[in-house]
Amino acid sequence: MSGYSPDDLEPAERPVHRLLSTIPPQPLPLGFRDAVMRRVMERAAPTWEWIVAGVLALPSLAFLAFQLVWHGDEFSVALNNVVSAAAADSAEAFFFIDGTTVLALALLGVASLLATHASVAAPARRRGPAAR
Amino acid sequence: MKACLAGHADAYATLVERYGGRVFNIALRITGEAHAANDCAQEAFIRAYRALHQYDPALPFGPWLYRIATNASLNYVQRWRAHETTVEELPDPPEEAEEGPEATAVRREELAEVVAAMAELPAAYRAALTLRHMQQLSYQEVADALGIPLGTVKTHLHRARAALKARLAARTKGRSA
Repeated sequence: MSGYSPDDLEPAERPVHRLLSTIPPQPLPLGFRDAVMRRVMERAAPTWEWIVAGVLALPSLAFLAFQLVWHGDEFSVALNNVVSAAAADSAEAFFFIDGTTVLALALLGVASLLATHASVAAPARRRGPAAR
Repeated sequence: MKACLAGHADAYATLVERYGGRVFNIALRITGEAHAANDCAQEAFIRAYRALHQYDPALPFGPWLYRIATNASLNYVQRWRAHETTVEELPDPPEEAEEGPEATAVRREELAEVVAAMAELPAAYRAALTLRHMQQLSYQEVADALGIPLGTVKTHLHRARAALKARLAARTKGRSA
């Protein structure tokens, strides 16, 4: 028996308590603390990834939305040109794209990669060894 | 604890060390598998760390942590139906040095029977018995840990003890037959 018992132990509970409290506790698996602390530290990474992804994506999305609102007609003309060129045998599809839009799209791509990594990596860590 | 709440992750290592054994044993008795228990115990500490801002420092840390560990273990059992378990190798009890080898063997066998009978009980009963009789928690602490009313805890424990006795009797009968 462990020597300890709850203060409110009732007489009817004593036989089972005596029986169960003799079961010795299992030792903690080796490296348990380090494994927990490693996972605690790892948890911080996705948070930063989400923040950086947000910082990159939000201005880019805002800029692209602005472009679409103000130059949407040019976008649809450019898209039509590309579709027509793809349907015909012609290789002449005219469209104009400025450097800022390219930069916004590139930043959005980087943000998507970071967000994907954060969302994929966190559940994989959360599942732990039993699920592997 | 104050250092933990202030956001010092290293201070949390001390808590993991202090409560690790109890949390692991709670998870072990509920899941019945050492690997699952290890995973659930780790998960409990991770969840607790993330929820530290919800913890009330005026209350003891143990029961709060045990509640998280119990939930993680019960969720695991519910998800994976891990209640059918084999009896794991029991470590040597502390009194062993004073007993003869024969008495020790008998004692280990008896304890293995108890663990096996307990493993046959529903997960909620195992959780209640573990917290009450193996972790020595009061009725109120068990109720807090399981998130159920005090009256329900008493009913659960009463039924769990009766079920355990019945299983043990059946196993003893089965062995002697």
